[in-house]
Amino acid sequence: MRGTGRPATLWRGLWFRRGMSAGLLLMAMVAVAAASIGPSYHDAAATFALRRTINQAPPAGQALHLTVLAKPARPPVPAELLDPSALEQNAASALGRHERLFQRHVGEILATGVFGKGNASELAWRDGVCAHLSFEAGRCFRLPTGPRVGKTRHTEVIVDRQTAAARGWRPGTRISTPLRDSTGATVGLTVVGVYTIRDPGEPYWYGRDADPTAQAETGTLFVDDSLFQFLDPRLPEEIGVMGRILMPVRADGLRSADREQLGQAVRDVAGFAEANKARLSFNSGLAKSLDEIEASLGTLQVPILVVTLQLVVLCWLLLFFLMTDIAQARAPDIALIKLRGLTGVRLLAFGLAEPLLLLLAALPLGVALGRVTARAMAAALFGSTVPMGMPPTVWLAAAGTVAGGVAAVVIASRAALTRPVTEQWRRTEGRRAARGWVPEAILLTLVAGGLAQIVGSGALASAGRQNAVSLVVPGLLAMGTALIAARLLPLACRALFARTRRNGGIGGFLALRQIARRPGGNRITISLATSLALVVFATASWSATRTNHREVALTRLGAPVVLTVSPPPGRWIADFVRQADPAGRSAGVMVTRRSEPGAPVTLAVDPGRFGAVAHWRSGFGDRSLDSMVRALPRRGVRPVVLRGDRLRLDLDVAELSVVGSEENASVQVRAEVVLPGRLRPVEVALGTISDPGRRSLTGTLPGCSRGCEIRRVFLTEPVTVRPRTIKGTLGVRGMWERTPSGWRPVDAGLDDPDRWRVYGVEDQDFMSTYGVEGGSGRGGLRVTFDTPLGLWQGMKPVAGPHESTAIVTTGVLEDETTKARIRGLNGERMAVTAPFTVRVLPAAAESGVVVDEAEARRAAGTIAEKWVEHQIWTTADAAPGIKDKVRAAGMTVHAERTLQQEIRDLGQQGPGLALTLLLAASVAAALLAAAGALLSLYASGRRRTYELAALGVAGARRRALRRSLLLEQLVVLGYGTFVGVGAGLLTVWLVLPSVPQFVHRPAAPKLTYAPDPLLLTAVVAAAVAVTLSGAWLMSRAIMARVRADQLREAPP
Amino acid sequence: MTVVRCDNVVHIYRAEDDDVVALRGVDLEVGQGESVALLGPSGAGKTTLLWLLAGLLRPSAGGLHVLGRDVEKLSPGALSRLRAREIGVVLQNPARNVLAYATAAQNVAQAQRIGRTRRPIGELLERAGLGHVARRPAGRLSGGEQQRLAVAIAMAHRPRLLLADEPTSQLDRASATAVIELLRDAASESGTTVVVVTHDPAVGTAFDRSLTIRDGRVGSEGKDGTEYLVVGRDGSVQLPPALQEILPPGTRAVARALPDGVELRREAE
Repeated sequence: MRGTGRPATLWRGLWFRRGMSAGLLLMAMVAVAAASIGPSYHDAAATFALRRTINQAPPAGQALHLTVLAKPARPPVPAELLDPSALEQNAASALGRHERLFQRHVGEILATGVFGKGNASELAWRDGVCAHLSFEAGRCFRLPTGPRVGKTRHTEVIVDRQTAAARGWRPGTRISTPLRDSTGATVGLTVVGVYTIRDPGEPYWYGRDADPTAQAETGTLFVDDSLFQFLDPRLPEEIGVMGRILMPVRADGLRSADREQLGQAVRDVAGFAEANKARLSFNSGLAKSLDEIEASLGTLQVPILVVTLQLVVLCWLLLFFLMTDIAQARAPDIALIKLRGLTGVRLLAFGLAEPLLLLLAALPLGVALGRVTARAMAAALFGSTVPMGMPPTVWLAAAGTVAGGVAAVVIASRAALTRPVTEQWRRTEGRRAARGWVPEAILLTLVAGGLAQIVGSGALASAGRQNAVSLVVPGLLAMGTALIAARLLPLACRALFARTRRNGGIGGFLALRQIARRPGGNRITISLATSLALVVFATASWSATRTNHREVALTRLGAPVVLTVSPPPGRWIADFVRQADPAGRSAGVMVTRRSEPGAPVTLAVDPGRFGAVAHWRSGFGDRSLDSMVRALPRRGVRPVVLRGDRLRLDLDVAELSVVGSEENASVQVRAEVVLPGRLRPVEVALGTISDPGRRSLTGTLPGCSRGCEIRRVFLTEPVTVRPRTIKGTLGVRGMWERTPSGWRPVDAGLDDPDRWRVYGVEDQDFMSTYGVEGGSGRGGLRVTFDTPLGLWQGMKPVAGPHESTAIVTTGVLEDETTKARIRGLNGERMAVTAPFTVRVLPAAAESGVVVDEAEARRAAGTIAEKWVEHQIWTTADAAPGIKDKVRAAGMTVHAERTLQQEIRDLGQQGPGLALTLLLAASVAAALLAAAGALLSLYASGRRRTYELAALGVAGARRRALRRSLLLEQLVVLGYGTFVGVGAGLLTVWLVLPSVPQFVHRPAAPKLTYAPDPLLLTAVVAAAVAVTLSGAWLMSRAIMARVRADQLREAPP
Repeated sequence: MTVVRCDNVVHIYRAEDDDVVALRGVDLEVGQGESVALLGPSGAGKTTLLWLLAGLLRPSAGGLHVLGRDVEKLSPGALSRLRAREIGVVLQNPARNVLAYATAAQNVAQAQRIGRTRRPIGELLERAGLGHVARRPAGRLSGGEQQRLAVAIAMAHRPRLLLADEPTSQLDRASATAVIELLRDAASESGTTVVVVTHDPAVGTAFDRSLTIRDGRVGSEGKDGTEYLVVGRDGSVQLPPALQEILPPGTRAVARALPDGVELRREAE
């Protein structure tokens, strides 16, 4: 007869118990999903970390760089140095199979010495350079060759702005060179454009010094590559040629599996260069970027594994409990089949076919569910552009979970499969209950052992020391507490038997007896309590971590929004911000950082605003930041300020000679002036002196109408092969400036001994040790020298204090003093005294200094752009307006960092991601446990409907029966909830300080381990609400099935 | 051929803190094709004897041979195979005899798979009067239908021995009659030996023999309408309840041998 086969019967069984079947399928799916989320999540996180780290790395960390040299450097130049395709060949040979990880290579051919001895300007071809330049005049080169003029082939060339200004080159200028092409014709250059580099910091420029403020002599003239291809390789001796190949990583195309290959690529290219070291050299910071990625991922892998394992074990437990209920429900069927003679494998197949089928079905469904969930989480955390691979560990984890589920099914069904048939229907059940404690005792032993091992290893020993192993403790502790608590509930109920026997109606009487005698109550308590404890812990960890992330982010940034901008033209940053934001919500800051980790950060600030804008906590110092900044003592300084268009020095040259020679000692006199907003002082040439006598030297001032300050007056001589020692005595008796109303004296204080100093080379001491002495005083400014002039800094007005005052963090001070040496705005050392010391400074953590920006500026003289960032610190509300004004002023916003971005970045690191996963996973497990508990209560209640119907017919009121059911559900669910929340809070107290929250635990600010009370209360309230509503719903559903006519049937 | 032979079978089981002697030396023989009713009050040991015959229990003492095999010497697997292929069992509770979720036909098919036999399922169900409910889930059949289905299932693999434990106790009169008819047909048409436990004397009369078990022993046997007392191995005799009114327990009586029996008289006062 059709439809009587095994599959049809199996399907009927599944459908008959569709509630439990659906519960088992769902639980198994969630277990598989939970196991498979971890590897998928990790894959996406690794891809994100890989792409982001490389994109955010400095240019050296984003590419590989090969330099091809001609060695020995003598003509003829090897052909590969003049042929871009040969350069490309080198790159392809070096990269080999790793090519797909890299973008289109950037080749470069460089020729030095083309423009004369002592001129460091270079002639270069660089692949695709025009797209990275802006043109102040003219255009980029277009034609490979220009017209021949006589015997000279002219090639189009573009020149940088500084070089063009220094040499007076402009579009149309023709430049001759000693180069010849293969026909013997000389090669001339025709300037067609004057360029500036759009973004010197972009990775394209790795390998070149793209500093836009570089001196004119190091500028680069770019040409098309055809020039080099047509060159006669027999170049003049003074011309050097090299080739470069930049191989940028294709960061946005990388996937997590590419990490290893990328590392191998670095090793292979380095090896290739080493094998050809006669002509190749290799450079890259990519290995460091990869190390950072590994460090970040290292803090993710273990937590994800721990979180996943806990969730999978919890799901196994839930599966086991549910299967125990299912096995109980199927016990009569199994007994019947055994009665009919089924044994061995066929009996196992009958007993286990249904749950095993569901487990197998759960494997692909669970993996799909896990993928969908992981994708959603990854999209929320990393954005939708980050792909998520399918590592083999996904299936491994899923299969392992199903295997564990199979074990749970087998263990849960063991009793029903092995119990003698006659016991199934025997009235007495003495043996069954006696075996119930064994699995729990085993679990408890494992839990205790695990905890002992972890505590013994010191993972929880010192609060604040992050340890990923601590994430195992909540699960173990929760389960141990639940196991013990589950045994106490029946005992407590038994203790109340006598009371309910005497009073309270039969509702309490029935409820307590049912709880005391049913074995399922233990299971519900264990599963509910364990999962709720995990939820409480996960919520607490996540909320405490969010709070800490916010505090750390705000301390790292310094303010809610920090804009890194280009220097404002003609003004200092503090002045610009004062004008742009009169409301006082913003402050201008110059930040000096060094590359060494842990090196102090110098913040040169506007004292009137900084304290009100910067992030401050009372724990950072003993006073408010604002009061300390405003109270910084300021040394009175009197800079020598010029406002005219020309400067004149009246000199008395008493002596001037070359030591040990009769040569003529001709020296140039120059002044350096600092213009507002210009980072580097501008040199003003005043003239030449060669003989003793009186002189008046005059030079043109470069736009001092707003006021510029003299930084120094110094002597220099042309660069020679061998520096000469010059001896002499010089006095400055007068300083004049020309204004629209005529020449007037400058308030230079030449007679004031406190106004001028003579400085040596390396130190800021008053007196040089290099044969130079002098200073201001009666009779003017005088200096006596007996030194190579290149070793002498010059005569400087005392415009800045010898030691500035500052607010410093404790760790920066020199031992037992209030003094410190920090990096000034010129990148050189600067001495400070500290009237105020604090524990933490915004943007500097435990290692930093705050100084008055005007004092720091004057002390430095030059602002070293390589070391200094110009920042505007402001609030989220004020930021849009400030940015508009920055752009309107012609400035560039190089970067904008907000508090939300910083918090998100911290959350996207390993520990943050792991805690997010723990929270999501534990909530899912808790919902599953609640569903399992309700299902178990419902199944148990269904089995008792006959008994309840009999009680009803015997005279018990329906209301009393309903009350007994409700009370039973409330006590079981409520107890599990109570134990779970309690265990969770205990775990929070014990473990939270050890939970990893950062990749590297920040030294400051002090972290908090207090969870958000509102969030925690909401979670507990939700748990209680689910408990109450679940109990009410279940009792109603069960009572709906209690009918008197059930008694017509045989009791189950 | 003797299908069942019990030689002084004793069975003792442990209940909570007590040992209960369920059978105190049962001697019994059932031949092939016979139908036997085991009668007796509750707790007499009838069901225990039935489970022993089904191989679900092992005797504590004595010899038990079922279908020519010494039950004591059979392994659990062999006993299961015996039940699968040669013994059919019908339980008292109709709902316990069937897989409630499976249809009537699927229940029969399941039994045939276990017994590794094939018989037309439809025919079996028709014979049990269940042809019209072949595709209905067994859980939705009435008690009588379920019990008839149980008989059909028990017969599905052509057992040589059919054991039924109070198959009519939870049925109304008509259903009970139908089930008894099925069991008798199984004996007469298929040559199956049928042993039925019942406490209803009316059911007992429907079979070839009836054995009354009291206090773990076969006390009397009914055959062809006559009730015989069975003398135990120790010479004891269980008086039927009607005679116990004349000689209640504890009465001292004088036994006198007769040519074809024994006379018992109450001691003169």
